[in-house]
Amino acid sequence: MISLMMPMFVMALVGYAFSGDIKHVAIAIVDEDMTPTSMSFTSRLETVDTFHVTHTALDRNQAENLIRDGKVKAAVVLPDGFERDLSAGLAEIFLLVDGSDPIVAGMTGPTLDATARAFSPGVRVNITSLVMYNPQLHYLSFLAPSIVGLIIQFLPTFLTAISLAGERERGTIEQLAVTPIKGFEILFGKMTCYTIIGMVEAALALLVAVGLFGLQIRGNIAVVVFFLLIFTIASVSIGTLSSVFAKNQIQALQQVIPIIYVSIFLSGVFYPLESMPDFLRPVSYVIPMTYMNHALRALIIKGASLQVVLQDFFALGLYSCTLMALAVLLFKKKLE
Amino acid sequence: MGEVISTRDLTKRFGDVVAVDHVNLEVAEGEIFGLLGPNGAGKTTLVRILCGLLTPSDGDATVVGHNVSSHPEQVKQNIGYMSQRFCLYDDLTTFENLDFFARIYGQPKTEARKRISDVLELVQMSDLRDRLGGTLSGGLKQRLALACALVHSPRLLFLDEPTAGIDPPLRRVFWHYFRQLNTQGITIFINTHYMDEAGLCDRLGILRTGRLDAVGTPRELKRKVARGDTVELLCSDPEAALTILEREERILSARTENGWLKLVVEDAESSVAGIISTIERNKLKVEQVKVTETTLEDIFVALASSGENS
Repeated sequence: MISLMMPMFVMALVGYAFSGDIKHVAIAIVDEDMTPTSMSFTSRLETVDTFHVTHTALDRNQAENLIRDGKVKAAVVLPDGFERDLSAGLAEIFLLVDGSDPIVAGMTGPTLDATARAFSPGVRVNITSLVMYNPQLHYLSFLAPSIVGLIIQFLPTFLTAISLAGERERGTIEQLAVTPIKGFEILFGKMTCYTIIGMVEAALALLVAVGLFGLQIRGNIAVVVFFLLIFTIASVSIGTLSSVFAKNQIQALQQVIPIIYVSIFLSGVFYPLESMPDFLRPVSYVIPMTYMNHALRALIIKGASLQVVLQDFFALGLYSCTLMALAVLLFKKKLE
Repeated sequence: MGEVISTRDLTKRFGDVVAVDHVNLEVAEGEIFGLLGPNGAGKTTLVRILCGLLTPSDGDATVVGHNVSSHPEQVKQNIGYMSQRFCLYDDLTTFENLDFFARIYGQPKTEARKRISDVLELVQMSDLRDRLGGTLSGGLKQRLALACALVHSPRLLFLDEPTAGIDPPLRRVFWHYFRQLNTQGITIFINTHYMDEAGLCDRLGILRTGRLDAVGTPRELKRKVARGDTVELLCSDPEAALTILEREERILSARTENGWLKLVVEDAESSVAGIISTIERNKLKVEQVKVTETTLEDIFVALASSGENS
């Protein structure tokens, strides 16, 4: 059944996820001019679909902070004298972009340009961009943290899922069940083992990214490790839950695969969340991978502080605890 | 000496199928109790319930002083279980398998090491400590399984068809182990479908389609069920003779086997002469007569036919 549904499901998923144009990118506006023209331009920006003006900053400093904290992906600065320069025929706009998301960063410029051109046709508007973090807009810097996350979502989940189901298949669970060992002790043993394996895998992947491709880990390595740990625990718990409900290894695997697929495509790993259609976006907020992705990118590329990723931390923590608790409660040492 | 196993109307249903049907039995400490029955009778299911691996649908059971429904984990601390199929770890060595289980039961390290050496000696596998479980032959796997069931010195041992698929010489060796353990005071509950093994037990229970048809010592069972002696006749046409004698009242049961006519009669002494003359009157010749002791196989058949008649 799953073999039939899966291709259709995946295609639909990919189609929808990647179909949209990038929309609702959070931006801030710094109006240093404060003239009717600048305010009019600001209003125009508010109507553009691609952008979502969430903040008005007092100065460039504040704008940089907003970007650093991940509250906006870009800031448009209308310099002092904007109105005057516009009527003179040549105006300037400054654009600050968050380079940790190169795809979004890449299209804010052109969109701003198009908006300016539509606003005052015939007038030349120079847009000077300043990319914060990842100035070359390397796709790898964007991708590498996510790949690490993917590895953790993929491998420990698989391994844990087939481990318990495998014992059931081979019959060793029978001998184990007849001993006085407690159900949660069996689970704990398995989960610890695969959590350690998962962490080692993540470490190795990061090592390759740093060593071979020059990825720079800007943030606090301890916080990064901590996040990797929580996420690994969440993945291992998903795997455990799957094997609790499976009679054999194949079934356990089949149950885990849709989860992994959804995680890969809907969590903003390959394409930004902003490009997903509105009806799918709520789904991404339910996936642990989304938070992991966001946190890892912020920590590694932007060197963000714990404050910024606090929301991700709570979301992932909640996930891990709930899934672990469920796995322990639902696992029974009976043979039926 | 008390009972190590005591059940009351123990029942287990899987959907519509009643695998174990209101079983009442008792096993005393220190005896070898055999559960005899054909495949599918419910023997494995019954043992699994007694080990705490399955929950009863109805009734209850007390094993080594604990109720299997409410305190299965206490039961497990004091029992050993050898399952029908090999369920130890292929990727661990003989020693590692034993060590794993010894540690689960909470044995301190030095004690465990000594115990492992002892059980390895019992099953004669001391020189195979470092062999991977997966590379062992069938017979060796069974021996290892027995060793693992014993490594924590249980009072009661459950063996589910421990000699299935093993050649006769090795079966004898196994029974040698069982008797050795029994002299040490360990109670043994053994599932089997081999009649000869059943004869070696102190007491027997016969399980068919979930119901306990009879319980007792092998001798008691023969007397209770067969109610008589077996007379075997080699004659020219056993089938014809069967048809003739079937109708006779003093014949309790009759069947043919390998050209022999096997009859169970209440008393051979008084019946033999009459049987022979009946056959010869019908122009059939009797070549040989044997009066043999009732075997468990006969009990089985008798039970089966009485089941059909009721």
